[in-house]
Amino acid sequence: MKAKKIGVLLFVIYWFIVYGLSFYDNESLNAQLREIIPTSYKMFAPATKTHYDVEYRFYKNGKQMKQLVFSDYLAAEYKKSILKDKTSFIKEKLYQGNLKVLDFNYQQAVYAEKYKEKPNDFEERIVSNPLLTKTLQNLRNFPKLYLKENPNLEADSVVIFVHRKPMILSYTPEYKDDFTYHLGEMCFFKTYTLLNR
Amino acid sequence: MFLQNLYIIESMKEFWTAERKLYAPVFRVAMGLILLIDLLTTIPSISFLFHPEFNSFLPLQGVLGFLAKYPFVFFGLYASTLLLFIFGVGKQFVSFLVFVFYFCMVQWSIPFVTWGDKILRFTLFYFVWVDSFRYLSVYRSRGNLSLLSKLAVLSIILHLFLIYMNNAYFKAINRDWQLGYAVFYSFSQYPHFKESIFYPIISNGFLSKWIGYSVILLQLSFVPLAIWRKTRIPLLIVSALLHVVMMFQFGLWKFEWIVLLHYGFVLTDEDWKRIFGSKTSLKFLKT
Repeated sequence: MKAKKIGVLLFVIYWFIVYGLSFYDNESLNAQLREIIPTSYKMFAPATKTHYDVEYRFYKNGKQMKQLVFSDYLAAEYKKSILKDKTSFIKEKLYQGNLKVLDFNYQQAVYAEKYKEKPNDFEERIVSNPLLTKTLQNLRNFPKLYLKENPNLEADSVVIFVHRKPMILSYTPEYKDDFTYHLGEMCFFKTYTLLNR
Repeated sequence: MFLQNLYIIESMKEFWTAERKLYAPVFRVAMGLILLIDLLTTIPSISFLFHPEFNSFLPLQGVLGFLAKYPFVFFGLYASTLLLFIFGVGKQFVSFLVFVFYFCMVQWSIPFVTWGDKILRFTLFYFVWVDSFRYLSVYRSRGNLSLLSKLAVLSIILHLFLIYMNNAYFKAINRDWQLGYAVFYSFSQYPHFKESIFYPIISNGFLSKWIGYSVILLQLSFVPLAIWRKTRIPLLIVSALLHVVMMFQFGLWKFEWIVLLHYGFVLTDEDWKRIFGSKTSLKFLKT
């Protein structure tokens, strides 16, 4: 009987702590605890107010061999078969999913430069933040996968352009109360990689 | 007033003390099948998902790094464990193995985990302690449910309630939701939104805003309406419809199924008998 009471007491204490912490919106604390207890379910969309796309230009000996837009590639992948939807979903998230984080850091760097007169530290952020470094690496990884899937395509390098386009509210198109609208539609990041072929 | 208070207390007591033996086996079988389908549909991605040349997020060190070198072995063992889980073989030990395998899968899938995965990770942990082997199981359990099993089921319910309360709270304090723009932005993230049947509704400012406010209201009232017996089933039907719409529009079938299957725990055995009739439901489960 005593063991049962202790069990119920521990149960109540556990859930009391979980509920208490879940409403405390602290990113670093949540990051530490999220493996142990359910914390801060802020699962509401929208995760972003901006559309992203990536353009790949494949070159061989300085000559452009192919221009590929990632959204077109994905749309074609999704059309293949419903059984391959998961594969397309994984590709979408691996190679495009974190662009919002890259853009968020770009926005922060530009904002600080513009309004706080600080030097633009976007490049430093990419080097020092592991998530951004991996995101950049995956931007460079996708062309390798594409070449593997398309062995007939010959290329020795690829230039990558990351584009952003803020979403326009259909019923309030003049709404621009967010820094993403100040930056507007543009290519905000450019990189390249050499291909071993 | 006194009678009203008494009625509320009675409803609370009914909800938290009611028997919930019938649904756990159904959840085990359905969730096992969903995880198995998800695993099988992930197989074509192994060639790039588990290759560091194509996936910079792949853990290369520790146990996960070691296991990632042998994805087909891992997938084979995980699929076999899921089959045992579905048939109720190995009972809680197999439930624990499913949790461990799923935990590893989530760690490998960080760039594409959905909220459904995050929810399910904890639910599977609580489910380890649930005796779901009374029905739909090769080896059936008998006798009364243990206290641990009852607390585990209550944990799954409390977890679901936490999700709704958190969501309602964080939505209510978010500017996009307050202005009524969040629903349009959410739908806009998905390709082909403009061709969708929902576009005329969502692109209408008045409707879009009120859908957003209704979602917050639904999430705010989820817990009391789920506890109150009279509103429990209608609430779950409305919430389920919302998730079905999201399933078709957003294509996140796994996330939606995970949430829908959680709803079953909110219903008591009496509710299930009311829905299907006591003889029918038990007959189905015993086969």
